[in-house]
Amino acid sequence: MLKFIDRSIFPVVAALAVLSTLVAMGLIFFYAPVEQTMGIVQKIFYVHVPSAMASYAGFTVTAVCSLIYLFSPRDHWDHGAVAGAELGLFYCIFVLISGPLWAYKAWGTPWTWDPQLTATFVLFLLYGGYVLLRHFGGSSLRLKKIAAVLGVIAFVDIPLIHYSVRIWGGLHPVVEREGGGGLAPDMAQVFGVSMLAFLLMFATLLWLRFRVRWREAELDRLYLEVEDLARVREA
Amino acid sequence: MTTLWNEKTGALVAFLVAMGASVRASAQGTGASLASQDTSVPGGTLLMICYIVLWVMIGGYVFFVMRRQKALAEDLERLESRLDEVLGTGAQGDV
Repeated sequence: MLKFIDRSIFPVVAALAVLSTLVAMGLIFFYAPVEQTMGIVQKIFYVHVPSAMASYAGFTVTAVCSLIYLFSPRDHWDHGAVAGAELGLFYCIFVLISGPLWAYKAWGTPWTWDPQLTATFVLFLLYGGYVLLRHFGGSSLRLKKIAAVLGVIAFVDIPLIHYSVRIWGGLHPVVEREGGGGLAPDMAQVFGVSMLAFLLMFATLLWLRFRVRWREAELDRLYLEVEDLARVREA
Repeated sequence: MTTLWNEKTGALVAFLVAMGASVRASAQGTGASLASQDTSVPGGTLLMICYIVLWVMIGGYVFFVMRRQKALAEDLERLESRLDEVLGTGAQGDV
């Protein structure tokens, strides 16, 4: 199954990701209109929101793989969880950089302790902790299970981020969600293409990272088998 | 014990409610005062910084993964030579 994905599906998805990203960049800079109130800085929206979605996708992969790992502790679920967390964190960092750049112009300040911003920062801390734990905590079965529990619990923050504007209010705008004003048709088209491009890019990077981690584990296993063989032959 | 637990729980709930109300009031108040402010940095500069950061991050991540991939290929070569060594030693030992 993994080999089939690697040889047949991955090259197609990677090619589509590159193509759709180029199209999205062209549309953002040469087709999407400049928003009247905020000006050109509003074009950050076309990468900020898809990055947030890619971040949620990464953490969802981590939570699902972690949950399955807790019931069926097979290594590929663990590799999936780590790859998802790393990539989710990668996009989360970009969200925390692009958001303040946009907010600096739109709100006059790069950061405020708005509920949605605060919840996103908490998400960064939770999965940042998860990634640090996995990188520096060793590779024992016990640690993998503790990390899996953390991966599932930290996921609770994602619906909190999504509904924080509706529940607690705050500065963060709602565009497409409940109570939002929606997008102009040409902006919505560019946003759709950008969203597709980011999700395809996410899938490509996720598979690349998963594949490397999976092969590293396979190689470690083979090293142990070769050393066992060496001991047997010496005896 | 039950009374103590209830007092503690009540204090915690009151603290959380007060914190929530404070954050909400702060956010709404800040929103009202920030809406009219202007900044000295042009929007185009902020946009360019954002897209440059995006591509540097993506490039960096791909470079990181490719470096791991290269290290993996080198490890595989070392493993192959180790396997040859183990099998070669074994063959001489058999003779």
